Amino acid sequence: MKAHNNSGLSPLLFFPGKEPSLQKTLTLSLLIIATLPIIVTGFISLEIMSQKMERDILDKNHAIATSIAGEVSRSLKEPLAILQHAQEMIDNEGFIPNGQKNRYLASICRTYPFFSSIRILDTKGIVRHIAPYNEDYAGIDLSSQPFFKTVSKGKKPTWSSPYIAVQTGQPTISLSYPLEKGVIVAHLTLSYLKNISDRIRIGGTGYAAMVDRNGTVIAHPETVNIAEQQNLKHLPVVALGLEGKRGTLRYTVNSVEWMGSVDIVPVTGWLVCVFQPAKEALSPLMQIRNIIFAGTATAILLAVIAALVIARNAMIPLTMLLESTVKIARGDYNHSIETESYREINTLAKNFNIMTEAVKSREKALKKDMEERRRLEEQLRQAHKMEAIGTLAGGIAHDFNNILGAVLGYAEMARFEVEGQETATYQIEQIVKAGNRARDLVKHILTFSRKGPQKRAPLEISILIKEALQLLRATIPANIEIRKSISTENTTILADATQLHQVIMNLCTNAAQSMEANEKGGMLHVELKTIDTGMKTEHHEFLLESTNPKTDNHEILPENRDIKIYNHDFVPEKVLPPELHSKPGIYVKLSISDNGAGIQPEHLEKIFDPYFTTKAVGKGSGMGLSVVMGIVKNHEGIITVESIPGKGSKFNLFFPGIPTEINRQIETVKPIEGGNEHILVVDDQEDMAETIQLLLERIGYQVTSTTSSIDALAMFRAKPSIFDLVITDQTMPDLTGGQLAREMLKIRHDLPIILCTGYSLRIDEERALAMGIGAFVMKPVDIKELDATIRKLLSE
Amino acid sequence: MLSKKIEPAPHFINRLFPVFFSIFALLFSPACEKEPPPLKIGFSGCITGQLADLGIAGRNAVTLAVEEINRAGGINGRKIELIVKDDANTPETAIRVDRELIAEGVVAIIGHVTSSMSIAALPVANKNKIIMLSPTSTTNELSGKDDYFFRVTSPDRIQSEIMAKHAFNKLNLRRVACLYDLSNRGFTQGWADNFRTLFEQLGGTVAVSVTFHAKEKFSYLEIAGQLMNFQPDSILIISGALHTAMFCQQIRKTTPDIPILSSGWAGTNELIHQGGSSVEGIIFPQVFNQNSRHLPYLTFRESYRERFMIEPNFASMCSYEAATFLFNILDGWDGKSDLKQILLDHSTHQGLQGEISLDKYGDASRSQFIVTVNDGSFAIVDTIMP
Repeated sequence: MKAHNNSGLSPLLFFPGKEPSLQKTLTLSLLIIATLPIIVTGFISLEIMSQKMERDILDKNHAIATSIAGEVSRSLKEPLAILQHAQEMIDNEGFIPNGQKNRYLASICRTYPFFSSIRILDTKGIVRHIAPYNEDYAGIDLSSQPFFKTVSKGKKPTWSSPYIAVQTGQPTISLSYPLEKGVIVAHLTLSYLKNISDRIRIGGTGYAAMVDRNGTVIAHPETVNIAEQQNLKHLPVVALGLEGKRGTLRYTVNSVEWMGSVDIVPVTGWLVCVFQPAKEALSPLMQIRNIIFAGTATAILLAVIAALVIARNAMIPLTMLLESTVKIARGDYNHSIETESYREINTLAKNFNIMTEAVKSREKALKKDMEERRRLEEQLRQAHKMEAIGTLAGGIAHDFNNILGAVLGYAEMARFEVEGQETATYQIEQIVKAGNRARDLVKHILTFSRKGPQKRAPLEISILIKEALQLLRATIPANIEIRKSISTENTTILADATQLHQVIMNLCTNAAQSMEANEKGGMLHVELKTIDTGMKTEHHEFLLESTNPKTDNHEILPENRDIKIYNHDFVPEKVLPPELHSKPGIYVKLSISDNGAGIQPEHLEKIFDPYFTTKAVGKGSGMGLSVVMGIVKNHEGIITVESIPGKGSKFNLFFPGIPTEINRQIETVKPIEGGNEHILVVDDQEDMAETIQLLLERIGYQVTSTTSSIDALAMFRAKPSIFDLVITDQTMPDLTGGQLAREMLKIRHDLPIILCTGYSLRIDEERALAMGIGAFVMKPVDIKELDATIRKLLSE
Repeated sequence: MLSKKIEPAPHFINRLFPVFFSIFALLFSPACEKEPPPLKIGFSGCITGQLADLGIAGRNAVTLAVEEINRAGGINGRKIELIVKDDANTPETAIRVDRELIAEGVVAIIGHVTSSMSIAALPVANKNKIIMLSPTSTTNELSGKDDYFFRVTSPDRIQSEIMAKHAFNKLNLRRVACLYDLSNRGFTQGWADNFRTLFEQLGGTVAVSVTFHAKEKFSYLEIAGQLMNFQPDSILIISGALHTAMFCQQIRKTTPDIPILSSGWAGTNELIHQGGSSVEGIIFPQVFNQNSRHLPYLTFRESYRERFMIEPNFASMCSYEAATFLFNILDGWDGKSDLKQILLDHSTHQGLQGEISLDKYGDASRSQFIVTVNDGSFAIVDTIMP
């Protein structure tokens, strides 16, 4: 978990540059899909249209230029026709007398106001006649004027280039017509032509203009260009015309694109040019282009919005998923993702939630497993401790019992010796009393360590309980109520009545004591019932004695067979210990509960330890519950405790029940059979050996006894076949019972051997059985049991 | 198996994304202006009316020069924008158009073409510290002054001196009748006075000084008669080409052989076209040799003819020189400092027909020619080196 950076933001939420981002991919794809076709078709159609439109415009402009050139041509024919007429009149000798010529010219000027003046030059270029008359011009030599030179030479009508007229200061053109003797020259102001170009307006700013053969403007909507004699030769379209070509061009001047057309006026060689700014000419095209651009822009915008919306709808849940994965990676499982997006993403989120739940429960289970394991280890340790204590206590108690036997025996003997001596008798009685107390204690210890003698027989426990409670009623305070819920059906168990009595008394006394402090008294509840954990069909019913719904904690129940301690904090009431399921069958459950002080949680684990007590000094030995535990275990039972401090405690005891049929069988056990077989009895304690010999002989057996295991082995070696069976004590000097048995079995492997022991360890017993020892009998020997064992072994 | 860690390249979509958007950005962004703003220069002169011959020739030449330098890439990467204004040969218009030019941001003005207009408009140039570089204004009134006026021609005094000496010494003239145009008084009167002073110093006499005004109505024949009444041995006409030609025509009507002198102002083709045989033998001083064999001049003449399909005149040459002179100056200009100082620092300039050098007052000294008309074309009679 610490692998995550400390910034609080996981790097998972940022998009590193290496992989494609989903959002970008979506946006780009949509953009391309939405805009590419528009752009491509738009540009292609724009290109086709612009080419066609440009062609159309240029053709149209050229047609205009041609039509103007035609019009100019026609309008120039009028002055030409007039001069031609004048020439005829003048050249026709005598038609107009010389004295009348000025007047004649003047009449022409009046009739045709486009003539600013008309002169007749002689062959030397001297002005001979002039109208309107001006003495300054009469008689002057104009032979150097280009028009005079041209007409004199070519003898044909000639239009001049524009020049600034001296009289008017205005750009003027002249039309010269050859005479037989001289030249007639008419001057026309360029305003005559202006009318033509004035009429021509193309679009908003397009216009027509006319230039002479030098490129100088002779007609222009901006008359200042005429006055200033602007030369337009730098315009490519004019240059084209000056090369004698007609046509149209598209060109740029001062960063403005123009479309120009040029045509030539045939008579004069002047150029008619039509100019139009390309931007204006192509404005419809521009509009279409703008529409296409706007369409493309709109498409892009919509695509971007769509892409963003779609990507957002996809991305928000994905981002939530990402965030959740980060949180889950950190161990926070309480995140469920609610999405309202596309089906796939919703499914993804749903599956993700399921996955999270799975991970969560697994992790929880793992955690519980670990806790359980820790707890089991703790219990195992406790069990080992108890085992060790048991072993030690058992060993000490065994020897101490023997010693105590000697002490008491000699004390008894001594009492006889001092009969009549009051003081000594008293003292010896005290020794005997103390010895008896010690013997009781040893008995307790042996019981705890399960090494004490036990006489288990089928027992109707309900009767025992009723007897015990009757006895108890007399000893516990009256303000403590005893409530009984005692079932009597199938409550037979295999038990030692004395020990079980002791258990009930002990637990009930403890319960009563825990309620003594309560002035209002209390309630002791003793309950007995039978449960069957083997009935699978009604498993739950039997598993649970009540309808308490808190079932999900059952898995934490421990499986340790030795000690059952359930902490009230997490063990609900009335839940059966799990080993009952592992060993299904009928159990008799005895519950003893109180509403007393309860047990502190920290004490719960220790209450079964020997010498553990919370009572005041002198009030309890601390052995009670450990003895109870020993007894229950000896009965292959289970004990559990539930306690809530301040509210009370409840001890549950589970004993394996005996089926009714077996019950009957047991009830009809036959009396002692006896036999006549030859049995070898070995015990280092002479009285013990003697006692067993006597008992066996009484029921018919032929018995040889010895106190030395060495002798016994020697006897057996001498005649192995004379003994039908060997009964040997375990604890002996020189050769132990086990060693003796092993030696004997080497000689005769089918020899039935019964090993007697004051205490037993289960492992020893198992090992003994494994090495060929036929049976294992606990001391003090019960003759019935011993006989049954002998009969069983000999009959096998 | 060989295991090699390869740094993963960014996914193509991640790389494509910015590219795609830049394309769109380009598509919808207005086309960028790559060219730096042009350098504006002004031309002001009379380009309409009877005195338009000098102005149009000058405007054409400057136009040619500008077109040429722009074709060559401009000055320091900046194109030249020429703004032409017509001063209509009236002082008010001259002042107005120069103000307009300055307001439009010109860095210098080429003009005016006539002295009177230069005199009238110079205060505007001085006030705004804008160079006024005149191609053809020769008035003495503007010489010897530390101002913003520069010119590529010599002051009148030089030409009138040359003319006086030539008339007295070479032509042996002693009694001159003088006629001049008051519409360009700044030039004509000074010219006439100078001539008179020198001519009389030499021992000659100016019998009469008659004036006219080009913009007013007058009779050529009458004025010519007035001149002849004083029985001069020669006539000095100081006016534009058309007027000079017309006066010549009137004079020749009565006195075919009298020598006629003129100023350089009349030295354009209009003089020959309008004057015909009457201007044959006319004598005038000029800085222009139409038949010069100088290569720069020949190149210029070819270009000019090609561009305007007519012959260049002295005004064309001087205007072209003024333009190229200005371009040279602008080439070394940082755009901020006073152009006047740079102009003064570059006192010599290679003209089309030889070197031109400027004095500290911005007056040029250069070769002068004595020109006549012979068989309908100009011819050099004498050359006076500076």
